[in-house]
Amino acid sequence: MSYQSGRMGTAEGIALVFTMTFTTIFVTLPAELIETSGELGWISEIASGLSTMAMLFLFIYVFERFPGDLFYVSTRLLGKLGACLISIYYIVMFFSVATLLIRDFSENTLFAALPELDFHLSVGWYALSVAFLLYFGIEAIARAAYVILPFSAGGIILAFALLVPHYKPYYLFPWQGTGMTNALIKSGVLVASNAAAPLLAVIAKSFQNIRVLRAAAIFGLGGSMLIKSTSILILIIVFGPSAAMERTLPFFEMTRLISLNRYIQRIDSIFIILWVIAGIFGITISLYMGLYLITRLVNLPTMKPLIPIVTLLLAQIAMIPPDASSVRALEGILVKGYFLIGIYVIPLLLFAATLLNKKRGTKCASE
Amino acid sequence: MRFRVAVTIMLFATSLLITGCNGAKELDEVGYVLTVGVDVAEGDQLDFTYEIAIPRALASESPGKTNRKATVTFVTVTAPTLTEGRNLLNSVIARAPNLSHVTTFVIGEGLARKGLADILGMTMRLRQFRGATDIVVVNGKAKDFLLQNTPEEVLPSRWFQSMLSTGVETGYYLRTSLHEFYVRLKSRTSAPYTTLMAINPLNGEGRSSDPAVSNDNVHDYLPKDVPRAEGNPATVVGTAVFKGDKMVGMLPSEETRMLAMLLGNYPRGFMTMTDPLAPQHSVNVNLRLGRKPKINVNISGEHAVISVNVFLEGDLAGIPSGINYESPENTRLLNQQISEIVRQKMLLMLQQTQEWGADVVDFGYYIRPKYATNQEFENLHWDAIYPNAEFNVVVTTQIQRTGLMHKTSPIPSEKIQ
Repeated sequence: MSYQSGRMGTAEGIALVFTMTFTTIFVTLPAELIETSGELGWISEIASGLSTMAMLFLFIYVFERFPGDLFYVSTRLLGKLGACLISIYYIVMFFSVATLLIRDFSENTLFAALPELDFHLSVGWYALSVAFLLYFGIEAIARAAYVILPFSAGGIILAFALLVPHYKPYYLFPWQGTGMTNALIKSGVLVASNAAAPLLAVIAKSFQNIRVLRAAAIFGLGGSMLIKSTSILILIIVFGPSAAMERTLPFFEMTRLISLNRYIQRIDSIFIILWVIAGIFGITISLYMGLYLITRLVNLPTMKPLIPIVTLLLAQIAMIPPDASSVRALEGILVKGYFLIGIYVIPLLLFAATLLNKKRGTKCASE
Repeated sequence: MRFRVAVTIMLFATSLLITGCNGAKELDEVGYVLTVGVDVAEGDQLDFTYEIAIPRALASESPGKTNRKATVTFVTVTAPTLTEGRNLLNSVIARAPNLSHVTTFVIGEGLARKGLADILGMTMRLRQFRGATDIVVVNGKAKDFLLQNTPEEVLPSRWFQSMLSTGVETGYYLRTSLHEFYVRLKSRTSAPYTTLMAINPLNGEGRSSDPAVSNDNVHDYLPKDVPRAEGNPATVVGTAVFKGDKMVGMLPSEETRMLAMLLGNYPRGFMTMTDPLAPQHSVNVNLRLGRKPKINVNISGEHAVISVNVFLEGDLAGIPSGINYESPENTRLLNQQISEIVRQKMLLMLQQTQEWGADVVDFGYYIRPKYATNQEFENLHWDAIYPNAEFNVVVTTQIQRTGLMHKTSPIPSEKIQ
């Protein structure tokens, strides 16, 4: 198998971006967003999605002028050193996302589904599944993600519909929550929940054309933004802001509340399957992006030998934080700091370099 | 080739893991707790009464002969917390206690008045308990209630579920889940409430309060006071009202019905009142909410004016006087009387909750859109405003159907004589 992927279309692009960005609704992030933005949390999520989309369009602008993948384009615009630094940054970022997701979903599995399972086995099982999927390559992963996408989105919408008896819409008020300015600033910071969205840039060459990138950014990120925002909105109107911000696994808690009658109740186990699949795909795609960048950076012919080593390494790293609180603290540091560079700084840098390059080109032509 | 081997190993490993054998327990190794009763005990201790299913009895070949005593067993342990109670339970029964099938939390009145914060914290945090689990308060001790409750259902937990789901037939009690209770507890404005139950003395003598509203023929009952004899002594009527996590009072049957109307949760219920044209008789109607009540709260300074508009629809259910209430003029008269009775009863219920300082209807919920930020909303201090709020209650009733009789003709007077 070669890391040189084929020509993926719109469906695969949408599936990759959607899967990588919507998985955060299954972890604590929605509750944290309500804690920081209050009743305005759902709008913060939209603002966060839109600002990420804007940054993706900066990437697309760059790739329109310089076709290729992130490594190639950054080499052309910023030189070898710049490309190396950017690649190393994104390798660390994607591996951090993968590591955090491994830990989060392992903990969630222990907490929600298999409380008697050994922690190491839980982490190991996720790592094994991910490594197995990686061998199929990004096209197969993207197509599989596309196949499960309607089931994921449909399942989530069904859960929201079954919660209708619990809706209390006025819990969305006071509508500005902790304050509009505060919410917008927080949304700018929490934009990093979409940290993996630049995957479009990393493997830009694998997509058929620039239109595919555009569609993936709009529909993939847009769909994920809508699902996440709706999820936060439903969480607020079901739990009320005060109780919602306390929840460790808000989506799981919501599905546990479904109890329409004697026959439709205790159906949370169905949704556990949904978030486990979403989690595995999320980890797989992040890991692939990191591995892809390594192979590009050191010019390897294939990433295959790296798969077991890196997966094992990340699984080990995922087990280092001593407790769930430490993981959340680490997530906070990464989300509010490190991940912002990949979302804001690098796209702006490449965009500026493109403009500068264009200007120089025009100048040279006129001379 | 190597890939195929890997896939085969993977599938084989998966098939082993998904069989459910890993960590599985046989049915007779698990003690499925169906109901948990909690009472205050001496010191800082609590009495936990567990109602545990006996699966073998449920699987009996002659289900008709299966009785309640054979299907459940009771264990009471005294412990400081819910988790320690579970630990002790494990030392008492030969099965591993499993609390994930608990359908109802039965709280004794003593504990409810002392406060539920300690218990609730654990129920919301531990995976075994669900937000959908029902919570009820017993006027008395939870342990006594569980032991003396002798339902016709084979499983007492099924009795709880059936009983609580049929509250909508009358509006005399409202089903409450742990989730609803907790959300209200955490809200800045609302007071939590639960269903009220008790063991009735079955002496056939009720101790109801007389109707407080003129032309109303219905007595208000708490569960112990319902005039009844024979059968299962467990009786479900009324609402336990909390301020914060502490119970502050009990709303009897009719007041609970008024609460149900204001909560927009009153699908139907019969109402009996004095016949407007023949006061020696009564009139029966089957009432329901025509739409959700319209509630508007206006605040100026520290004073709140709460406007409530309730629209009731009804069907005639019985006119013993034989007066033709199907005629438009008489229907109008009846509509006016029903509206006035409901309005007065509603005001009495609201005054009672104001005395307790517990906004059980959650009128504060309706003022949320009037504030832009949390800070402004927090500065409102609704708890201090609610007890002095002024109510403008408007009730409109419309008798829509006359049942299977479109006109009542009186019984000939000579026959009555």
